[in-house]
Amino acid sequence: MKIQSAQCSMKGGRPYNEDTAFFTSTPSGFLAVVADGLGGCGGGETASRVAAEVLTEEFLAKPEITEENINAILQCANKAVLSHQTPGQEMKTTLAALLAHKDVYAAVHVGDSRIYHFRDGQLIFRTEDHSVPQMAVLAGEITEGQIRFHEDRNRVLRALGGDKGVKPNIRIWEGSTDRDAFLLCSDGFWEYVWETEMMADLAKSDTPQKWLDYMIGRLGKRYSEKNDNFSAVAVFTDGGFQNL
Amino acid sequence: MDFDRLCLKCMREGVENGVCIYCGTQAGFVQEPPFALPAGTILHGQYMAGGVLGCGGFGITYAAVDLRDGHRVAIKEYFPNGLGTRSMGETGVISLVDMEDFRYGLEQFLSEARIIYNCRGTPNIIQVEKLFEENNTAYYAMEYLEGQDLKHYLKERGGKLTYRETSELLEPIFDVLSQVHSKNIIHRDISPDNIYLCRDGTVKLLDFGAARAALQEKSKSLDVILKRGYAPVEQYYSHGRQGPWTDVYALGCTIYKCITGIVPPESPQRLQKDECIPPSELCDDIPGQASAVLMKAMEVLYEARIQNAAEFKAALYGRTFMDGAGRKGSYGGGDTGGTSGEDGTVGTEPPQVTAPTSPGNMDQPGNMTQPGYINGTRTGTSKRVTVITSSQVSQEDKWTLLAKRFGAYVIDCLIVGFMAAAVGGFAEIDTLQSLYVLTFLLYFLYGFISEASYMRATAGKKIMKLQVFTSSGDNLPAGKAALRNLIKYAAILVSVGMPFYLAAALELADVLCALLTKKGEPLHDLISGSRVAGPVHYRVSEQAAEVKVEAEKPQGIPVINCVSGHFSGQYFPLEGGKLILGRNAARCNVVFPQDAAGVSSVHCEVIYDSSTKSVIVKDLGSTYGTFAVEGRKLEAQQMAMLQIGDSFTIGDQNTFLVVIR
Repeated sequence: MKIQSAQCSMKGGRPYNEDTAFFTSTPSGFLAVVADGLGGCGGGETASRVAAEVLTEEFLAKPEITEENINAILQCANKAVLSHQTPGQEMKTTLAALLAHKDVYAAVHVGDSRIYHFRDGQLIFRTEDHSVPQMAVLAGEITEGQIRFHEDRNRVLRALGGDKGVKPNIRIWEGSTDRDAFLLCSDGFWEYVWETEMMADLAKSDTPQKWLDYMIGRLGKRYSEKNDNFSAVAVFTDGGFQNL
Repeated sequence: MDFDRLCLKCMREGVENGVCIYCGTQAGFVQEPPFALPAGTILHGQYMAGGVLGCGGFGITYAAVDLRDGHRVAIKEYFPNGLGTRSMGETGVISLVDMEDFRYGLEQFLSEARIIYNCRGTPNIIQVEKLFEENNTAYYAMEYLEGQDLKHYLKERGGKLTYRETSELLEPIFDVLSQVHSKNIIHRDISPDNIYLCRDGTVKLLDFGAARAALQEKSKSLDVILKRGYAPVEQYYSHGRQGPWTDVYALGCTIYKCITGIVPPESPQRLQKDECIPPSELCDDIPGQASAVLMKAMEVLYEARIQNAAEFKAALYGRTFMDGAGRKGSYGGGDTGGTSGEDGTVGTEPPQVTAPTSPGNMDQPGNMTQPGYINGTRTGTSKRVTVITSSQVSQEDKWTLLAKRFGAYVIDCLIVGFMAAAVGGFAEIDTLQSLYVLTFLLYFLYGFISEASYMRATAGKKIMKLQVFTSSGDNLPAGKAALRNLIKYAAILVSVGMPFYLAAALELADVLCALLTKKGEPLHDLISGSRVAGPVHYRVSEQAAEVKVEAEKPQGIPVINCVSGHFSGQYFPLEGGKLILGRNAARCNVVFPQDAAGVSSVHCEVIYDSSTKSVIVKDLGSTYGTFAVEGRKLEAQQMAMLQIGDSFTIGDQNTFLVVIR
């Protein structure tokens, strides 16, 4: 019994790749993360890399899945990003991470990078973006389906690197089936791949790498030269993580 | 002027033995931040710029002195963070992005200065003396204020003030905002750091947010664009509907900060889950009514908010106001945002039915015809909720209707004509008859699809403000729409293999029927039992249809709050049994108008289960579904449990949120 993961991170049509996508599986726990740096001129890259590194270090040092611990880890990551900022370069980053230890799981996110959770091939959960279009959905101004086309879709309401700390959304649950699949991705990815397509591709794939390849194939046909960086981590559970 | 004694930091003649006696700065200090102008730079051949007073996302303010007469001024420089920079010790600004963006921001900066300059007769707005461009950027010189801003004053006073002091201190700001708004200017950036308390006791409004707004399109970081905690939701959008109500929100938050010591939660967060604590719970001396007014000024959605500074002032300072339509109202008590249990009778106004003021009031007179729940009374202890039902489909004059229908027909023909030409060209159809069949087939599909959709009208009808109903005035079901169009274009079937004038004859019969019948109904409408009519008019129903929900003020019992859509800003209590939402006035108690897009005649119900203290929404077999919990669609008869803060949506963006009032 084990879990399988695959990741991709590409710069799309931008001069830099400011995203970081990463996963690791150690005896003390499993972690997958996608971070989308904001800041330009290479600053975003630092922000996303630093956030992912600190998150990994801190989590593997103390792989405890409780709201307090995860929140503390995120505050650490926030401080680390903050410490790299200079007056002219106030880099920030979004973050979406899937954490697992024993048979307890957590999906944590800040900003507009998403975590999708599929079970038996069906989408059962997705994180709600901290972004202006998601806010517009809550306000009833637009529908979920219009998020992808909203003019303010680049406006992120929360990110790591703020001087007043960070407020992550944390979802914790226990137990998984052997047919759970997760997709962590940056906005450059999900804007171009519809949820129904994610499910369709999932049904065709027997490994996470294949799943990602199918979706990247779709993305490749759609994106323009000005496209944002896009990154994703795909995770398949095979009987859960309890044997880690 | 004695330049030997001039302190380049504070620009006063106070240097003694190398140290300024006023500000304690040593001569030869290092200018901070490093990208600011070096102290002692001459600007416009008239001013000498000194130490930095403040540095924001888009500008730096310097202390300066007018060399002609020695009076001190403050000079603001356009220096957008991230768009421009300067080498240390240099004066010229280098644009980091393409010149056009920089230039655009600069224009906005100057326009902000012009706005302030144009308000110079107003004593409570900072006075601008001069505007000029230099060093590849722009500057404006303004009066040097002695005193401190409200933010620092608050800090000095231990974080908060009493309500009494706050209301006295900020009263002039209401008036100055009203004046500014009357010039069609919105401040957009009201917060404690933009309100200045001068030593002589006057209160002044500083920076306008125009320059901020300009950066909106260029900057990724929201912090440059707006002040979190003070900016209402509409400022987060690049094309949000901003107006006087935007400043009302920010002023409300500023007062809130003053009397409670805490900045209200950010508006997007409040939208998700409103955790804004009513000021009455945090401030000892605020009257319950004022607390309610403040919450009304800080309503997350602008439709539900107090609309302008004059109204806000009148409500807060205890006077009634007249709104545009000449209706009188007074805030306080029952429906003002749900705070304390005090439900005092306010003013001497008799109870009257008043629709909540909305920005729509300004451009749509006669909004009294809006159907729906109206918070019937503003006084007394019980709340009476009156349901206004629609009258039947309005009866239009036969010839007007026919003219409109003809107009719609012409538009639709043009649309279909283009489609047919495109499809025909593509499929290389060249015989006239095939083209004719194709046209009618397209017309059938076009008519059926658009009339079966929630719009209940083709594009042409939509433009002519017509809609298709069943003969009883209900929304047209898909089956009937198909039948209606099938009969209309029976000619399609007929014309296959037959001379096409037969089809023309059918059309003619249709038209003749419309001309000859009393109500102007064409043959296909008569056969299919449908009818086409103009917009539905509503009127307040008679006693019979008046549903009374007598209720005590809810104590911890959830209510549903419509956050968008038809009943936006209104609250519906749940303790009076269940709420049934739909268009059917006989069966529902939250009645939507007949043309409410996507709302079925009996759509869904909302029940409060007192044993489990939960709210349950159940779909009653609606056509377009009820969407609850993360947008999942409920099937017919399916239920979903909602927690406080959860929402559900029906039809075209009618979203209801479960809240505790």
